[in-house]
Amino acid sequence: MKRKVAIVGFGQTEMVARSPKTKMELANQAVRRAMDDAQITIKDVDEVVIADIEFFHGSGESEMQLADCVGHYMKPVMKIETGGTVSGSACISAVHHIAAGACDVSLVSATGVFPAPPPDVIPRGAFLQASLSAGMHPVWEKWCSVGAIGLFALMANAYVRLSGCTEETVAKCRAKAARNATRNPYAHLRGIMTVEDVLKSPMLMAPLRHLHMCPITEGSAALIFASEERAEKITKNPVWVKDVVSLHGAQYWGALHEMFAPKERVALPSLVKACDILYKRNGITNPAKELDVVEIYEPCTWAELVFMENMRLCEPNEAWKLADRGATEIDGELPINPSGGVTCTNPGMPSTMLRFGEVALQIRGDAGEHQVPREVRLGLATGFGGTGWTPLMLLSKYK
Amino acid sequence: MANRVAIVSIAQVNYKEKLAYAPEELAYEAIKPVLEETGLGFGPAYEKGGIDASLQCHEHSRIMRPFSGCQLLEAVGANLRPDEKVDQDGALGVYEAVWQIASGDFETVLVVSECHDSVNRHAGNAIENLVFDPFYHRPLGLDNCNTAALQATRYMHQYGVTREQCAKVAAKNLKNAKSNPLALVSGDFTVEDILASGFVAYPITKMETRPFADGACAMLLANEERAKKLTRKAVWIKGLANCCDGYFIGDRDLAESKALVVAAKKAYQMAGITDVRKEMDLAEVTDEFSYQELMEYEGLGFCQKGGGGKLLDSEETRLSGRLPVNPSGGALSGCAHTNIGMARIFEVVLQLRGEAGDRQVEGAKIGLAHLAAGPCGQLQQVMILGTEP
Repeated sequence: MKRKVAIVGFGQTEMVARSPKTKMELANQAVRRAMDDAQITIKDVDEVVIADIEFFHGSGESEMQLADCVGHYMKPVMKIETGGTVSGSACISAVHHIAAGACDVSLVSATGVFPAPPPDVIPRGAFLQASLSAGMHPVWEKWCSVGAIGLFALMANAYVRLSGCTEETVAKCRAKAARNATRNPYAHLRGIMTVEDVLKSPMLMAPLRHLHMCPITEGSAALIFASEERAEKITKNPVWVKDVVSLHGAQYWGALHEMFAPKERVALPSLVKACDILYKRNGITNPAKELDVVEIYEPCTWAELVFMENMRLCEPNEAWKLADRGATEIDGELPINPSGGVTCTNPGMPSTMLRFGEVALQIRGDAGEHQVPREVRLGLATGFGGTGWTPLMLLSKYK
Repeated sequence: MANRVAIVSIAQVNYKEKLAYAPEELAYEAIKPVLEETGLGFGPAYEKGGIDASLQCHEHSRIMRPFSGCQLLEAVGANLRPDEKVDQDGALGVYEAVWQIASGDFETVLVVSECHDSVNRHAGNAIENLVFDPFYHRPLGLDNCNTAALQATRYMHQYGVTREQCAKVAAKNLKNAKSNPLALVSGDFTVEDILASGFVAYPITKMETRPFADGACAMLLANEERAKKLTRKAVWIKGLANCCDGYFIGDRDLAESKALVVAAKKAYQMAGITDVRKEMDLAEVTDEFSYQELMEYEGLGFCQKGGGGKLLDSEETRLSGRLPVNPSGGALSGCAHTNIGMARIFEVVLQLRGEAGDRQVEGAKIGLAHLAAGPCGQLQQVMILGTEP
């Protein structure tokens, strides 16, 4: 990158199942909170990047609609639309703009609202899974795909077979996420959850249970990035973007055979490769030791375990043992998802940005009750979406 | 610009209906010539030497598919490679690619825009209606065309521009399109022909709107070092800017485009242009509706506020004039929705390379490509291109 870039502000709304606010109101609230966090006004913002998947909201050209409430009135705007990765892609776009000198302060906004038919017509979960399947290959996959649940059940099956992971461990891991979420005032599912609760929750598609899967959340988030010179003027604690990597994968789920029908280890190819590239570029040889905090986009609890292995935080097929002995707890040797993660809060569009923002809060030491109890210098956040894509952001306390 | 970026290879398919093509097939029709011309391939991610990254552009709301970023993935060579999707016109994809390269992250970026108007031909205005506010504006049945009609009426009323002058824009552009092999509609039409073609929404007639089309456009952008190795006819990005106006059309004075004035000023400053009327050799502007071209003359500073009609009457903007506008025939000669702005860049590149055939503007060295998107041109983008960096 030609110029250094830092995160100077982060804001999010309270995440809930059904928000009484409109998409515009939610977006505005998160943007105002991000600006309050950075102690700047919209006059200091040079441009806006919008992350959205309008299919879920049933609107068109939302960058036009959001002009007045996100604040790109008479400012440049870019709209990125990929998949669940979208707010990660938009943050990377903002980093590129600042590094290239196009602007000094860039605001990224992402909002998730999921209108659906009334629950007695069709439950929202099923409705959303059906609309996810609409993105599959029209001939081969659309008719048999079952959204995220079916795909992750395939993955979980393969993981059980290859690693010997027990259901109790996965439940323990889910309870860890719930415990972290109770400390995060913005998280959606904030109830205490015991191992028994998870084990008793309904089976969606074996071995995937209801509580293993992320909820449908409504809410908004905003991140503000700034150039080196501006960042140092805006805040005493800029969080530096050390590196960004973004990889898309093949168009169809069928191409992800390493994830759904692996022989030796379950792997999300884009995550494995993106981490290899990022670690190599930044001289990280032992990520588990060198990273102080990791935020993983885990659409289900099983994915957290698989993705830990893919990120080389442990040996293949070993992640569940690490989780079982509590290493990934907030005060463990390798804290993972102190925010509570995606299984506790998944507003879709802002989900990847919530991972980036959480790592920034942790590095600043501003995470409050869910602050990792150690000095956090280097953190890595991942995103997930589409047909197995990965954006990564490596954040650091030091330039 | 400090970090120079150039367009090194371009290709575009014609605008005829292509219902038999899948989106990725159509996109590949445009991508293939770029791969052949440059001899580049898709290597491992973040290894230099080939095409470093790709950028897809198509408007999701037009195809109603979730995570539409997967639509062209394989055609743009994005399997396990850096790739993004801009949910706007291809011109914004080019804008994004310029900054990606200027940031130093990538050396070459492939931008691909694809759009099948034919699949949503009968639902176009229902889709456009979703752009508007659900409480006050959607029930009025607003779409791109009837809001454009509101703007045209306001503009004509404010500055005394006549329907004949708007029709003359269409006559000029359709005449230019005669030598554009991509064009869907072209020919020598009189102002009377245009005005008699039937109203779409008063005062806009059928020939004063863009004919729907299916199309794809691909461009390869590169940094200075790679551009000089890849081609002898690189076209350089000298200045670029975009700007977004307010959402509620009732909040805006539709007789002028404030956002365009802001974008143009910024782009001219970047490109070091002090007097656009003297320095610009040609311009390709968005003419989805004929009156837009006249408003854009004003916003771009080709004439004073309200002087668009007079500038057109002075014949300065025709092909043989001092500042030819839309030598390609513009969107009025046919263009797919999300290619409107990118097709303008495409024509400017052709002209600056001296490859525009019978419609070549002699000695063109610096050109302007403009995009207006959204209701009444809410989003405006200006790009200045030149034969020298």
